[in-house]
Amino acid sequence: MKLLIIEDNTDLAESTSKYLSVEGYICEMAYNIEKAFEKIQLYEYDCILLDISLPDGSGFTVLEELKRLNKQDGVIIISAKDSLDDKLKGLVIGADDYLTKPFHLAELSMRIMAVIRRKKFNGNNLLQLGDITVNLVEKAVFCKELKVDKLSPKEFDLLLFFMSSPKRVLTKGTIAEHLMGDNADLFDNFDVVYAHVKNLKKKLKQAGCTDYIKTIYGMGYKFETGQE
Amino acid sequence: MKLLHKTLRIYLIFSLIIFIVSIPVIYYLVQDLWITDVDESLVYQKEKIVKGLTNNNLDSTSISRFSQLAGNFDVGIEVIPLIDDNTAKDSIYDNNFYDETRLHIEPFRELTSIVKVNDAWYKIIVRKDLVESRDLIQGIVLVQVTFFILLLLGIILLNSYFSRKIWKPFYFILSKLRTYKIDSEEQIEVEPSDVEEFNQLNQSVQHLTATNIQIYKAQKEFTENAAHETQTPLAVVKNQLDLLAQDNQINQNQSEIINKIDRNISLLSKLNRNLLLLAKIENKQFNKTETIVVSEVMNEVYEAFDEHIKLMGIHFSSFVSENKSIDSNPQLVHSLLFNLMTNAIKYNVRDGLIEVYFKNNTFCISNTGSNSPLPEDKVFERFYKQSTHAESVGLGLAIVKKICDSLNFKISYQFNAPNKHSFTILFN
Repeated sequence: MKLLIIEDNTDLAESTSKYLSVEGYICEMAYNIEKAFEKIQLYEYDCILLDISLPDGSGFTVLEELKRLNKQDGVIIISAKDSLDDKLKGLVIGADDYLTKPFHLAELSMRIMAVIRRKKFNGNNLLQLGDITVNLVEKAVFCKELKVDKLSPKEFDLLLFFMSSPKRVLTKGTIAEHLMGDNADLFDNFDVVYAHVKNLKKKLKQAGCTDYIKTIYGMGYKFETGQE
Repeated sequence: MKLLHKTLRIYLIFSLIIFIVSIPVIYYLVQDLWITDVDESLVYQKEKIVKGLTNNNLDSTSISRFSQLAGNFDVGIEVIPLIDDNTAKDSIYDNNFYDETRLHIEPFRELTSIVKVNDAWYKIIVRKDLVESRDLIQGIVLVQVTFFILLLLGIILLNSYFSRKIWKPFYFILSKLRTYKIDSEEQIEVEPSDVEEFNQLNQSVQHLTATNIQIYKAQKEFTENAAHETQTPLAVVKNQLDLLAQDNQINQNQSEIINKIDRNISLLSKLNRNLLLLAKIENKQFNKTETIVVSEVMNEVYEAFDEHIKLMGIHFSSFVSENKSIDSNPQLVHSLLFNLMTNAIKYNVRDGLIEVYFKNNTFCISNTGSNSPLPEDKVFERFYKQSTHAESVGLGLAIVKKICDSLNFKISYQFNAPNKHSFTILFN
C-alpha cells in the first residue's frame, strides 16, 4: 500500500511516516504543493494525507488537481482548522475523510484503513483477525463461526479500533478520544474506557474467544492475536 | 436635567428679574414724563389766559363773571382778583380734589400764579387732573406681563425648535454611541451638521471607533492565528508520544508520564478550539438560519453523553416539547446545548440529578452540584472555573453566553438551595 503525506511540517510528516511504515505502508512525502503535484501526476497512491495550509497555497488545489486528472486516490484532509465549512468543502471536492490536528496516529491509521477498504475492496465487508470476524454492514461479530452477543455501538467501534491497530499500544487517551470525539477531554474518561473495554472483553469471552486485549499497566491496551 | 432645560431655566430666571425690576422703573419714568408734560401745559394755559385777559380789555366784573363761569363748568381755571399787590412767584404743586362726577378723590396738578392785568392784580389758578398712580401701575404691569408671556413662549418654542434642529446631530450620535458594540465592527454613522463643534465631535467619534475596531480586529486575528498555529506543533508532540508509547522498554512510571502529557495536549488543543469557536462567533461566521427542532438537538446531545451519565449514576429527566421548533443557527444551538450539558455533568455529584425542560420558548437545564451558588457576575466570564477541575478549561459557559448574545437569546443563572444550579434560556 502506498501513501503520500503532503505536509509542510517535516517533524509531523516524519513521525506519521515512521508509524505508518511499521503498519506496512510505503510512505512518500511532499512538503509543498509543487512537489505534491509532481508526485500525483507521476504515481498512484492508495491514500493521500493532505494538509490544507501549505507554504505555497491551499491544499484544496491538490484536491482539485486530483479531480482534474481523474485520479481515484483516497484522500484524508489533515487540517489545523476544525471548521465545518472546510470539512464540507473538502468532502464536496472529493476528500474521503477529514481529521483535525492534533490527532493520534492510531486514529489516523484506522481512518486510512477505512478509506482504502472503501476504495479497494468494495464488496468486502468482512474484517478478520485471529478468531474474530466482523461483518461491517450487519455490525455483527463472530468468533470462530459463533455469534458474539450484540455489542453496543461504542463497544463495536472499540473492537474495530483495536483490530485496525493490532500489536500497537493504544493509550487510554487515544481510545477515549476515538470513542468520545469532542467530549473526550471534558471528563475523567479513563473510567469510561475501562468500562467499555471490560464489557467488550466479557462479551468476547462469553463467545469463547481468546482474550486478545492485553492490559499494559499505566499505559493502555494492546490487541494481539499472537499470529505473525 | 437636560442641557437645553438648564440654559432655558437660566434665561427665564434672568428675564423674570429684569421684568420685575422694570415695573417700578417704568412707573417712575412715565410718571415723571407725564408731570413734566402737564406742568408745561399748565404754564402755557396760564399764559394764554393772561394774554386773553389783557387783549380783551376786560374789566373786573367781566373777569369775575369769567371766573364764575369757569368754576361752574369745572374746566380747572380760577381767576381771583386781589386787593393788594403781591409779588409771589408761580408755584406748581400736587393737590387732591373730590371729583363730583366720578365720585372719588382725584389727583390734580395745580399752578398758582399772581399776575397784573390792566393795573389790577389777579391770582390765576389752573389745574389738570393726573392719572391715578394705581391705574398707571396696573397699565404697566398688564403690558409688561403680556410681553413677558410672549417672550417666554417665544423662548420656549424657539428653544424646543432649535433643540430639535441644531442638536439633532448630537442626539443622533449619542443614540449611536449608546447602542454601540465594538464586536459589531461597524463604523458609527454620523449626521453632518453646520455646527463646527458637532462636526468635531463626529470626527473624533469616528476616529475613535475606527481605531478601536482596528485594534479589536488585530487582537481577534491574533487569537485566531495563535490558536491555529499551535495545533500543528501539538500534533507533532502527540504523534511523538504515540511513537514513544510503542516502545517495549517503557515502564509503568514512564507510561503514566506519557499519558499525562497526552491528556494535557488534548486539553490544550480543546482550549485552542474553544478560543477559535469564540472568535468565529464574534466574527459572525455562523449566519445561516434554519428551522431547528429543539427536542431533536437535545436527543443528539443526550446520546453523546448517555454512557457518561449512566456511569456517573446521574438521574436524567427531560420534559421537552416535541416538534417545537425555533429558527436559528443549527451549529450554534447544538454547541449551546452541548456545552450546557457538559457543564451539568462536569459539576454534578455522584447519584445526582439533571433536569432538562423546554416549553414555550424557554429552555432550562438544572443540575445538582456544589452547595453554594456561583457568583452571577463571574459565571459567564472566560477562564472562570467553578472548582479545581483538572479537565476544565473554563470556556464552556463563556461560549454559552457568547452564543446566546449572538443569537439574541436571554440566559440567566439561578441557584436553589441546597445544591440545584439552573441555567434558563429564553429563545426569541
